[in-house]
Amino acid sequence: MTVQYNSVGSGAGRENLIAGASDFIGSDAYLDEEERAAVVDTCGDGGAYHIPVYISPVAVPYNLPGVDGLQLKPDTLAQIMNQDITVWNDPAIAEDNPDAELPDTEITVVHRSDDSGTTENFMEYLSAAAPDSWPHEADAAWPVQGEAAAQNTGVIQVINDNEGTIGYADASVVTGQAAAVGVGDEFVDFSPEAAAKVVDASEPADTGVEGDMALELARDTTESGAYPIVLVSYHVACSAYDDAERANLVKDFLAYVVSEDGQATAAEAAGSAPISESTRERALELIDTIQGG
Amino acid sequence: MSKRIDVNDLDIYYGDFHAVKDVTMTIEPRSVTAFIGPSGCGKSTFLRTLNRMHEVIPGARVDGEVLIDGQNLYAKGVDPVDVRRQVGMVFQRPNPFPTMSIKENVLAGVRLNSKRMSGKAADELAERALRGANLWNEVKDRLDKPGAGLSGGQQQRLCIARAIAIQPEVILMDEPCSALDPISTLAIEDLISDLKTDYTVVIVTHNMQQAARVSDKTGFFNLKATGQPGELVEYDSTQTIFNNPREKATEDYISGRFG
Amino acid sequence: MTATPTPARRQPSSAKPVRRPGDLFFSSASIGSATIILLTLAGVAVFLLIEALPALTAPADEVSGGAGFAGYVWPLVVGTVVASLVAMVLATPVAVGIALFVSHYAPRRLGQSIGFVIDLLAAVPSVVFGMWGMSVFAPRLVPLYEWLEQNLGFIPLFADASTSGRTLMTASIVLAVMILPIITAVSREVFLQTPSLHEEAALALGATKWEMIRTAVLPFGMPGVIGGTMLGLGRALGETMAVAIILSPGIFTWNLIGSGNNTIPAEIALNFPEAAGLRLSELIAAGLVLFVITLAVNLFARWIVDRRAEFSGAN
Repeated sequence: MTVQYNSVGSGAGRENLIAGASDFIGSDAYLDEEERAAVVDTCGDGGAYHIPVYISPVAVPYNLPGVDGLQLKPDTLAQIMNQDITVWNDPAIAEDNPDAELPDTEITVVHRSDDSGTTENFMEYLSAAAPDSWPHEADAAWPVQGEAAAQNTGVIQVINDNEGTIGYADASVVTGQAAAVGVGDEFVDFSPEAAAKVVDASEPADTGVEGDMALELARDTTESGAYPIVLVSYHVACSAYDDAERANLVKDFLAYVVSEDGQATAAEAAGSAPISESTRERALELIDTIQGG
Repeated sequence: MSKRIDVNDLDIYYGDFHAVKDVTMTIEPRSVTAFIGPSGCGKSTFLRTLNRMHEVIPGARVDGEVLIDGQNLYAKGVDPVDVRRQVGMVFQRPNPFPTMSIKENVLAGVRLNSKRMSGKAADELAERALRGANLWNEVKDRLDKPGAGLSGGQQQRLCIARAIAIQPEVILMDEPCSALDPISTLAIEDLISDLKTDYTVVIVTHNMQQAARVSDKTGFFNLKATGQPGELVEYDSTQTIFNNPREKATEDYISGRFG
Repeated sequence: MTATPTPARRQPSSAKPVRRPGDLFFSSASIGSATIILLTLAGVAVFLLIEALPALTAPADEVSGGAGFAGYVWPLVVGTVVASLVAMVLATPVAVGIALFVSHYAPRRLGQSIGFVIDLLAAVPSVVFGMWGMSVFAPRLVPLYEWLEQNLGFIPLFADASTSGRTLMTASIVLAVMILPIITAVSREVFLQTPSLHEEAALALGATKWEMIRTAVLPFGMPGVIGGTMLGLGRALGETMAVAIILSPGIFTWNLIGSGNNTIPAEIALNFPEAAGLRLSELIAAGLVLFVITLAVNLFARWIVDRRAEFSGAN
């Protein structure tokens, strides 16, 4: 038996799981209510399990020579992103960065030109952490007209090429400066550990499945040292399969993915943050309950 | 309108190849002069030096001079473009411009001289040139049709009309009938006889009867052996060349004992 | 002109000609190929139509943008057509110029080397053009765009200059470079095939070199140039990666020198990986629209060429 990786978007992946075309899938978002109702047809009454396997911080890279260690409170960040703040020496930015000498350069916001889970997660963060400054509903497409580029690498390229730019991108591709984000009264730089911390601080989402690990990410966390802009990828698998052999295969594979070894491999290949020990223990317990036959 | 041509000690080369050797001759105005000779003897090459069309081939050059009414075509500062406007040319195969109508073909040369012409003047010139080429009656109702739609003989007369529309001094014809049927050939030959009242006509032909029929003077070109340059063996009145040639080679060629 | 006499063949008395196996093989092979291409085209069209149907019939507010499929796709259509046309307008004169230089002006050896270099340009992957266009070319165009905005800003096309240079105009210029080789190659071939009879006819009338080209070479080559241009336009219409990388897409605007707009192929390429459900159907429907545009462009080109068929010189 082999495991085939079919590279499609998260939405298409969830469709495949529901249609029974895939035995398990990876997705940037957990199944919504409608999808959870539909997945019962293929996975049985127990529904599907979400297992967080890939945690990646979404960084806020910028290009402003002479300004190191830019710090931005959620409201300031949201106003910049919404283009309510348009120059770098705006008082709001100055307040967050009392020691920096800010130039009067115009701010160019760089966003993803392709529909993306990164965009959706970043917007979820803005909505949760700065609801007064960010009026847009989270979506895979960016809502504000500005400079756009394809893929994370494209965004980074454009930011590195042009002064006065700021954007968002998966942390693994960031090569230049990135802003520290305000959490409570402090500013936190992105790091794997800081990202894992916010996952631990998050409440489980109510999916109606016993022991499920889908997370309501604590975007507005005030916990010290947690970096709140993260993208969590789940493996979504059925709680029960018709075929024992199939169930065992899925269990083995998932167990490897969450294992220390699997996580280290992922971290090396994709630059993601490894899941914490406590998450791993709970994940292994959950995987063990997958039934076959 | 017609002018006399004097050729003095003309040698023609293609790169290192000596194509035609040491030609000296005088071509009289208002006459038809024919060049005959076997293939490859250089008669067409020589004809092309009379309006510098040989220069189209890279590496072609000449030594000597060609004088038209005393003006050397090869003097410094003479533009071949001006030479060709004085010395028109008709080719072996009819070559009307395929994208142009009959009338546009006739006027093509005039338009090149970038003269602005009123519609009426253009119509008159086209008619005059087509009448001059004995073609007017056949095409007057379809002047806007493509020139390429005419028969071969008509196309060739169209090319003659196009050549005379720019009112040259001299008209060169390079085997103008070799691609035509006998009836079309006859029409062209008649036309050549008419043209000499106004122009100096020089014609290269493979067809000795044609030379005998249309020309006043005939030049016989020959080459001693393959790889040798061609040369003008004999040049005299057509009467003499065909009836009483001075050279043995000429007589052999005329009487079909050549080769 | 020497006519080689063809040996008289004895006609069989029965009306049915002999079918030789070789003829049979080649005629069926060519009919087969023609059928396959038609079936493939039809298959593509049917696939696009079926997959596009949900987007075409969906309620207006469920389609991206909330204004129905037509509202979603027309800015993309305009972006695609404008980018391709600008590319074509920029590339064609240059391509014809290069082709003429190679075929009629340059010494033979130099002409061949230039032709070779141009052909090489066609082998550059479009991603490379995209990266170059985004990182190297776009920033260098910024001063030009600023100049345009200052001096011609009253024209809506040049209303607001981009600071990164990643605009529809830049994409168009890079597209022009990309389609240059194909237009050049086709034009060069037809120019080289101009019958020397026609060239000599023009020269003998006292044409200068340029006049000769104008009277003999260009009219003869025109159908070929149009054909090459259409091939180029087809490539520009369908170009995906270069546009997706270079252009900073966004909402529709007439401003060619600012960010905004998008083309159909780039829109599809960008969003296909994450698309599912209705979004996927929208993208495929956009592909169907592109298919129709390309078809229309080709029919139009054919019509232009045929219109002058009588004067084509195919005598």
